[in-house]
Amino acid sequence: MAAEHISMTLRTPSLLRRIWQNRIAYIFIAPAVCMMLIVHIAPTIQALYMSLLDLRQTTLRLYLRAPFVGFEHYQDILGGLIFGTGGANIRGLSQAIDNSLWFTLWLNVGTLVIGLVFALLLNRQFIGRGLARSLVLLPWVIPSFVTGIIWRYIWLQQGGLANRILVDWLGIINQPIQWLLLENTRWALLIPAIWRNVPFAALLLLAGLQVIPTDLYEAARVDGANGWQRFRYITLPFLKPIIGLQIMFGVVFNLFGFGPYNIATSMFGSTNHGTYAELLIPAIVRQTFTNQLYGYGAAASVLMMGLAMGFVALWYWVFRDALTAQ
Amino acid sequence: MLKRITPFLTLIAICALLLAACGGSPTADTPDTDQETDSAASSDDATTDNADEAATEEEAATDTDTSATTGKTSNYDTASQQITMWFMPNGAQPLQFLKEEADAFAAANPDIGIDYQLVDWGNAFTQIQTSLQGGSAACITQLGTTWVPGFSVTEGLRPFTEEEIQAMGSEGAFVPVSWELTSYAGSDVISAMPWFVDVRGIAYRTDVFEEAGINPAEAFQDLDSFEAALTQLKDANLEIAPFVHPGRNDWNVWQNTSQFIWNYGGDILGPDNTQATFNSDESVKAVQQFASFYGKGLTAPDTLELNSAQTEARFGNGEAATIIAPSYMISQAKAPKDDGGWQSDEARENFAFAEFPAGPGGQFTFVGGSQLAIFRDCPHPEAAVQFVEYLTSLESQARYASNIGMLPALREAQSNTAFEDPLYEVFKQGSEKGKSAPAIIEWGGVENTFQTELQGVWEDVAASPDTPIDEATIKARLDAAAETVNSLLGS
Repeated sequence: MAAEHISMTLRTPSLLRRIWQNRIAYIFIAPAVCMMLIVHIAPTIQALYMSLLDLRQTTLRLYLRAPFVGFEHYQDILGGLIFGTGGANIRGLSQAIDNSLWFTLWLNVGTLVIGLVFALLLNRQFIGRGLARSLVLLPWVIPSFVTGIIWRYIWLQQGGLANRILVDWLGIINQPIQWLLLENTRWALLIPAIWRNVPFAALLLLAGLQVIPTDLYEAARVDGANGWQRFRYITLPFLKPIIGLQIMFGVVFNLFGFGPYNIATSMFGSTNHGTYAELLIPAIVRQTFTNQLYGYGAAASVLMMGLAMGFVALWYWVFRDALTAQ
Repeated sequence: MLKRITPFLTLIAICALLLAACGGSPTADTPDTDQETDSAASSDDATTDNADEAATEEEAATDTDTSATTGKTSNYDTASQQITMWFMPNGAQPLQFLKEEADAFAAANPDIGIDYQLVDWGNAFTQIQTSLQGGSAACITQLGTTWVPGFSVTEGLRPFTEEEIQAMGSEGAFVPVSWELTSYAGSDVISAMPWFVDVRGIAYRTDVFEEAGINPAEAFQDLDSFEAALTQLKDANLEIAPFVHPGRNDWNVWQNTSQFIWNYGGDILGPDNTQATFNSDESVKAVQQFASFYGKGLTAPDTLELNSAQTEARFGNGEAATIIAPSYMISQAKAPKDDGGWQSDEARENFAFAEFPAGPGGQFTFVGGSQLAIFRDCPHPEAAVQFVEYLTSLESQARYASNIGMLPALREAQSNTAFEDPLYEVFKQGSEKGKSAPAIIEWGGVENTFQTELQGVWEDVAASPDTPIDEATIKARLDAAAETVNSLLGS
């Protein structure tokens, strides 16, 4: 036993020794680490401390010397969300959470499904494939606020393209729909967001498809596998890491980030996107920072950070095999 | 074990830090006040960019804009005093219009060079706020009128001295409501000087009124006669919407509605600014009258989804008979069709303005606009004061305001030949009867809350399109907003 331990110790160099052995690598990453410390870690620590202060417009000049209020902001936010108590500032946050969950779920599903279909089509040999690949990227290169303006005109009740198609051309409905108001705003925001996200997803998935060895498909065909079985047992497992990344980006940017904020702002014409289209982070920003309650806003951001960490942990647990698979 | 969880922990840490760094910094959303001054140029420009966007997109936008959004006077490099000014997109050619003023000033003051930088309304609030807290690269900045109280209290703005104020004409020389927003309630420190004002009136189609047999003098006498005129227009079936106004999808929600509230005898806050009163009986009645136009069929059927620019286009296209109008619509009407001018010849030839109709509580109109302020850490404050003094002078006020389609804040400048067109008369009178936001430091939060619930009212209206909205629904909305506002005001 002791001999085995000695043998292990001899085989495994000490931490310091390993650092020394990899010193060139550490020297190369040192500038990046320093930058991370300056631009990420310091503001994060500052945000954590700010969340404990009554930092608002009137105390802004004091900044980190603003009155210390402990966990008061956290009590307000969590109390309001869980028990309906707390400050009036969090009005609408639970609706925004509902909106964000709905939006994130369908945005990811829509983007992945349509992106995968596009990737599978673009992976085939056909005349004009290069042109088709370029055209698919078009929505991605259009600035987001332009996307919003384009879709605002598509959704207009009078003369908008969507209603023209549905009412005049297809005759599916009799009366034009008010897309930019009430519950319809969810769809009015989701569809342009999918439209804009699909090219990136398709691009990633196409790259993934192109590294799958073709002989696997040939072998499967010889073994009698049909199209679905080849997709299910060859394509999908190979694409799993990319799908995982896509899901993480989708959730982080849309549930824990501003998501399609610029699209929504230019499409709806206001920073308040309405009861059914306001997402969580814009709602927090509007209800806390616009109200110039910075300590409050910092506390809300820290809570979001906690949720994001939880999501990343879950995500890693689900996709850990795919990420380490060779 | 450590080896297995290290990448996992690293990944969590990186993601968490990225998120916290993005969310933790005080990136305030721009309060919407005074966005209206921008819409003459393009309401779409007001799109904010503070979302997490792809860096490449923002870089591309910056690269494209830089050359077109800044300018320097020709003496800048040789001048002994160099000052930078931030201004927003005022009028159709913002850079050109400010260049005229800066060049004229530099010609008379060769030792002062001006670097003038255009800042989008969507970014301006955050940019100025950050500068007030952390120091500014600029000396002078344009401020939306309602931003002044909140920014004044940060002590990041340099107060104007009594002598400087006297030199610029002092209180009586400027539009009263504009002067009220040069400081904050309870303070005698003047932190900004009035620059130009944005006054509202009602634009209407004279030919349509005539065809419907409506006398404009009677129609705009009070809010009831206004509603009666709209009903008469509707009943006349002239294939034109009686009225068009922006609904919830706009910046101008509280501004438009407040005119009804004020004229009904209500107000946004009480006299001591410690409590919301926009949920009073008078205010609820006022909002109900405005909001019920839609259910009564007096507006364009899709008016609730339109923004200000779209409603103005509707009027200019000859699709609406009346609209709540800012003064810049005069220049829009006169501009060539292919240069943003109105498209309908009938509208171009047959329009007039009326003051916003009176109500049981009086006759008031919304007056917004912009002010000029100097940052406390400006290295050449005397030069900055000189330039502000020039921009508030008779000559500059008349030329600049006329260029951008607004009215000068300096009353005397309103008599200049640039404003002799009788169409301006309504706006000149309106500026004297104007009201705006209360001069309180908490206005950003009050506005956000008030605006959000008013947008909710328009959602309620849209939810029952065939029935005029009732007072109880509006009262519930406004009570909820009042509760939040009172907590923000600490009462």
